[in-house]
Amino acid sequence: MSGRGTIYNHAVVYDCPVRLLQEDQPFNVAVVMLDEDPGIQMYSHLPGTPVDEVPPGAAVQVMFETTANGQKVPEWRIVAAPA
Amino acid sequence: MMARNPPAAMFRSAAGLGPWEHRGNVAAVGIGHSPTARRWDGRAETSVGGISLLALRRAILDAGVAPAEIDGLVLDPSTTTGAWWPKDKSIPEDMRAMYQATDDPLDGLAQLSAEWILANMPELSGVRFAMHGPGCMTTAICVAAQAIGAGLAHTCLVLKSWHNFAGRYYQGGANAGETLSGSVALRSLWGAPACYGTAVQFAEYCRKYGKTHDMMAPFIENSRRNGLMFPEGYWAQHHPQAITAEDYRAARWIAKPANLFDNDMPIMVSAAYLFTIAERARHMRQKPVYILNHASSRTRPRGLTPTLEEVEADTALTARKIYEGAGIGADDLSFENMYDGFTLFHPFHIEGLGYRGLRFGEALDFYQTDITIEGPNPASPSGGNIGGGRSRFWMHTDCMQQLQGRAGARQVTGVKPEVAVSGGPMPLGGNFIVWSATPD
Repeated sequence: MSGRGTIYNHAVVYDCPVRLLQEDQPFNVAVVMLDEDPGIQMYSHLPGTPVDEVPPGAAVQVMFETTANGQKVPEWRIVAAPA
Repeated sequence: MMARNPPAAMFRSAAGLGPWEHRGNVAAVGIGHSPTARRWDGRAETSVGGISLLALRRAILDAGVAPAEIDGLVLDPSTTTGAWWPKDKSIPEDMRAMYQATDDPLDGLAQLSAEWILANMPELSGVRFAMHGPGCMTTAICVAAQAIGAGLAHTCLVLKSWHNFAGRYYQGGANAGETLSGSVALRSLWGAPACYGTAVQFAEYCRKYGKTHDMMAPFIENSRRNGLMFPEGYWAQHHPQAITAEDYRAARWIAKPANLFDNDMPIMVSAAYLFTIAERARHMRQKPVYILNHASSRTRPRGLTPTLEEVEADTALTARKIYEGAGIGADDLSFENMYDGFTLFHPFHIEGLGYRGLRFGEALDFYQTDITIEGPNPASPSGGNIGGGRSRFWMHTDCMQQLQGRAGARQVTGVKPEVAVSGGPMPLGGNFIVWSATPD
């Protein structure tokens, strides 16, 4: 896999059921479609993208964030504006 | 008597099946509801088992049937709104004292079984057929209709009940922990609430068609208005307050573009219906409401959440199945009661149906027109889950009551109630019913 994808669209989460994420509200959750197969999706907070300023169709690249307990979480960052 | 899960063959999920083989031969005649509550108050008589018995007995009384004549029972064994009985919490003594228990102590408290119902309703001495309708009342209706049509039962109770305990929605269990693991982490690590997928579909809908969330406001106002005329519903019983467009626009976001009023509120409630063969129905107390078809979607999304494109393709396919099996077209619908919990499902459903000639991208403009029960184009006259609390059955009750002419203040007056459609919940995976005032 290339680790590249495209943003389908997003919502901004203001009322999150996961306790450990509630202090970060509001935050983006985008649907990312992989370049190899748009039917394969992943979610992302899009680190570095301001809340509710998510461009559908933008190209993204996978990255890994390390959580406080050492888990590596796949995230995505925007690398190119929508075509 | 143990109930089993229905075989896939009981659901009409394929296109091209032609008219339903039992079209007009199955009818609904009895309706029973329990009172609603936001959460369980801890009394045995208001437990999910207690309210189920009440709803069932009311449906039997409403139909005017002798209990011993009933030979079928279809129910959804799952009753949770997202609330679970803690593993280390003992079963209340009142429950043990009031009800006949089964081998599973959660029966009647946080789930249901046919065994538990029959043990606590000895008057149902003739039941020979019991089956689950898992997930929703809609599923149970499909199962009961098919079972009666196929001769597995001739007079059948259909039951759906909900329990709700203390605590915030889906904020317990793994979501309250320090880590998330397993397949659930693929979704939960990013903290998406239940309405998230629908919110993303709606965001894409607004982008694609140039619409805004504010355009949902007339639908919300209308739904709560209709719900306040539904005396069986939660808001009519407990907080009879309208929602204005200003209220809607000012509501806090849950997952923007889905706000608080786009989310239906979990409640405790039970409903039961009595179905029978058309010939018997004509001799019962209430006017029969005939089932012309039931149709199901079994489409699965390719990814984590359905895209708008997948939703539109599937609602269109579902509509073809609905109409083909019922032998009707969109123009034959007097009104619709498609699922609205989350509200943002509703435009997808009615566009797929082509209700009042709608095409994709036109539902929000339709909401700006007269969609009241007094007009020629009523939208969700039941008020749905938004108007009555999350039951996933107000839509069916309303179709029956409207076609029987006993919807009270909610009775549609801008159209003659002849044929209606209800169903859901989600566009992908939902089940749908076509109701008629006449058998053909």
